[in-house]
Amino acid sequence: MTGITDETLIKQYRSGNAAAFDQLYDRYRLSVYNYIFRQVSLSAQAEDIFQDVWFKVIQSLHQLDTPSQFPAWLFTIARNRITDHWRKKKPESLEYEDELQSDSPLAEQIAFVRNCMERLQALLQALKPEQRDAFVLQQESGLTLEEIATIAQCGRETIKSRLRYAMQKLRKGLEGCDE
Amino acid sequence: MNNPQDDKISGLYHKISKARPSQMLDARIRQEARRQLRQGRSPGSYRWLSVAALLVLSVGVVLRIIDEVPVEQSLQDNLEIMEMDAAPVLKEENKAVIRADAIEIQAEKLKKVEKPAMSAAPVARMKLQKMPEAVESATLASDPEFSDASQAEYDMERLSDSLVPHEQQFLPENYCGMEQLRGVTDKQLLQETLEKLLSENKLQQAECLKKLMNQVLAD
Repeated sequence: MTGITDETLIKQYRSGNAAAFDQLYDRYRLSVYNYIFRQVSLSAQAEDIFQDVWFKVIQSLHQLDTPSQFPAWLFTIARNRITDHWRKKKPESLEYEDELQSDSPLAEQIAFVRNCMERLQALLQALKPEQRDAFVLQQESGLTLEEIATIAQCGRETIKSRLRYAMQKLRKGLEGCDE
Repeated sequence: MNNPQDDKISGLYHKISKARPSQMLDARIRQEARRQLRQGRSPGSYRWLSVAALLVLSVGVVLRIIDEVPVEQSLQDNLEIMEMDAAPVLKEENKAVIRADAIEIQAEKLKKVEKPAMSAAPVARMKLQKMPEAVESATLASDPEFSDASQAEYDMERLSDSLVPHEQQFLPENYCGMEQLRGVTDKQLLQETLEKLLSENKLQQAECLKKLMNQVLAD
């Protein structure tokens, strides 16, 4: 994050500079989109949520009292939208952990995946939502544990625990996978 | 993420192909950002606009209140001052009008007496001619004859004279209002009385006395 700070870009946009918004948008569009996409998997749903998130940002940017905390605010909006999405459409009840056992059909299917990246994507989808959320949020936003805990509306230790479990499962699923 | 394996997983995560929003979606979001700026419909703008409107309204109301109170007070003050200033003028005007009325009444009475020889009638008429001027400019005191205190006293005396009953008017049969002259036939005494009346400028009474003297001397 070099050059102009988020705070400066937000101030410039507030004072009528549309190009400042473009710069801010370019800075976060991929990370926000991937954070959403990793949660919902389907591009169409991800795009709907992504648009809602940025429209909300545009409408509320003038109300942001602490522009320096823009990333945390942005990912909070995204997370709330994802939560709303799942609230409306209940996720299929999958036995995430049990089905990830090495002798499970999913694990066997993963074993057949030709490259580790594909395995990783599959493993991510198999994670519990809150674990996946914590992991993807950490990877995409680059926020601290405290900030992620604030976004997820839980304690720092809870986030730390979720990340630990997520990593354990990913490590286990990616055994033998050379970089 | 202190575990080296965790770092590998993180590295692997960032190597997997990144999903991207469509260009159409990018354009839509950028367009929305510009639309908000153009229309100024952000809640922040409304907030500042409402605060500014409220401020202007409050200042306007306060200024109006500040302006109105002194105007009312000054109006009342001015009215009181004008009334105080006008009071003497009105009194003088009233006095002048009363004087004019009294002299007019007296002149009318003199006309009824029909004594062309009387010198008081022209004097009264002369004064009557001067009265409108006195009425119009009672406070200006342009005419010394009517502006000084003695003249006012004279006029008031004339006024009181005009108000006495008819029997007491300055008629020879009433001894010209001087009961002490009843039965007096002394020419010298009557002459002295006449001179005194003239010296006191009691012209009407003096004229009356002249007639009385003529009657007495004729008898």
